[in-house]
Amino acid sequence: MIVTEEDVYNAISTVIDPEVGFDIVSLGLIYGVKIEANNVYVTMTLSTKGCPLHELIQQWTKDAVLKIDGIETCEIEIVWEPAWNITMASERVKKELCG
Amino acid sequence: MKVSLATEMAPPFVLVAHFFIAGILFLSLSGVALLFMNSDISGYIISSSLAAFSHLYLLGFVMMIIFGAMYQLLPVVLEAPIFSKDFAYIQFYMYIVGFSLMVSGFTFAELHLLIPYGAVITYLSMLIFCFNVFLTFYRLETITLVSKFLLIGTIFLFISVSLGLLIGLSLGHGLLVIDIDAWVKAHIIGTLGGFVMMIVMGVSMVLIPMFSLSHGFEEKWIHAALYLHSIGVALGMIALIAPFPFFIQAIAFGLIASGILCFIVQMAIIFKQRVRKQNDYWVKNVVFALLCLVGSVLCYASYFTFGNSAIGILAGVLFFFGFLLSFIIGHIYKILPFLIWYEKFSPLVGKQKVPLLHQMIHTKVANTQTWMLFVSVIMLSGGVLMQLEKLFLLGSVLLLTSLILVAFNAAHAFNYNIKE
Repeated sequence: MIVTEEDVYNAISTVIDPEVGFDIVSLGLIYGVKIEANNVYVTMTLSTKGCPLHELIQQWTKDAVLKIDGIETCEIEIVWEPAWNITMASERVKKELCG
Repeated sequence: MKVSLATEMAPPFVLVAHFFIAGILFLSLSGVALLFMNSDISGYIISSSLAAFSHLYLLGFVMMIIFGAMYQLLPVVLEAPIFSKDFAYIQFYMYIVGFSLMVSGFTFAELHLLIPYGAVITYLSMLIFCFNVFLTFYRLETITLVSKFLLIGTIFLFISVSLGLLIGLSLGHGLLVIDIDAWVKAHIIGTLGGFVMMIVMGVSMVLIPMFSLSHGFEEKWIHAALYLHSIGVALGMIALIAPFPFFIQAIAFGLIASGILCFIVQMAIIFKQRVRKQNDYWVKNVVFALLCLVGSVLCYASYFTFGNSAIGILAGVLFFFGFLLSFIIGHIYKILPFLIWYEKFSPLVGKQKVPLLHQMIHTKVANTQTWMLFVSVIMLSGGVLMQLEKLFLLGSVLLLTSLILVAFNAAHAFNYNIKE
């Protein structure tokens, strides 16, 4: 079975930020997904450098990706450029957060 | 710089919980003590009953929460583990004993001889805290803005508690012939302005942007606050003890007030750029706290200029209950659920449904408590301003009720279980 980017995004969308209450895909924290054979590379950011769940969200993302059949490794790279802002979030998140 | 409330470097939850649980318990006790303070609203601003209450509230609640928060935040702000967790436990138990003796001595005239013993034990406990912090800093290569606030704040704590000890020994055993009034004022400025305010300012630069999702704001105001406030506090303490002429004290107060106002402007800038627009109990508490801080500074300026003790007490009411209490409670609602969640539910993520952080707080109770606190602060202020003891007493009853609701919500968070 070929794993697609959509499969990876669907898997990552199960990761919820318990403070904000939204999944990290809808929040716009995932900047890119690359699949090479059985390996996945995720480039992501966090809503703030002071995110209290820095390591945990990274770990949860990795765990979620590794649950996909056929994926053997997952590397997560946290980047701060471009810095996250609300325009990166889905319309639903913008509406809920910004009122 | 990576900052987080929980990393592998953070201390065990049980250590921080010691301080948070004790802090909330002593806060409730302070609320009970306040019921007996209504006859003091027209008294001299530095009385033994006020000393008893202020030490119970400040040492039992404010300091306890700050110590807990510092142990949790320091390792992650500095990206280095706290020097010794064992020291932190020793500090906690010594502190409980020392502060209990001291407050008993202030409260009951026949026990006044306990004050120096309590002061010495409390002093030693705070020394342990200070050196634990200093030794943690010692290993650092770079010092950030937030770190500067925490370090300078701890230096002020060290100086202020040393003054407090000398005051205690001079009162109890005539160790030194000193101007008690001036030294007590220096002790208050050093503790409240130097330690508490510096820690609040530093920690705010981590927590306020994090919880409001605020980004890309300029930081020049907080930099100004750091220098103005710390120089003002240092000059103020020296000017009182030396003693320097009154105009030097006035310059010091001007610097402190300017520093605090710069901090408030910085907070306003952060709030203006926040992404999260919901005005929940956290936002309400923080905004109310900052407004009361402005009020407190204005009242203190008036007291400093005209010497009206009622206005001086009002400045204290606004600072203690309007600013500190609202600010700390607002953050307890955010931090306590997170710490409990991290310990209890984070291992279950991906295995079963886990709660969101805000679900661990009873929202209706938190909202009710928040409004009760606001009204109680207004009543306490009105009681002091109009010299109405009954109004002050009513405000105290309302405040105590609101504190019971805080304790209820803390227990609710601790006992939160996933509903099947």
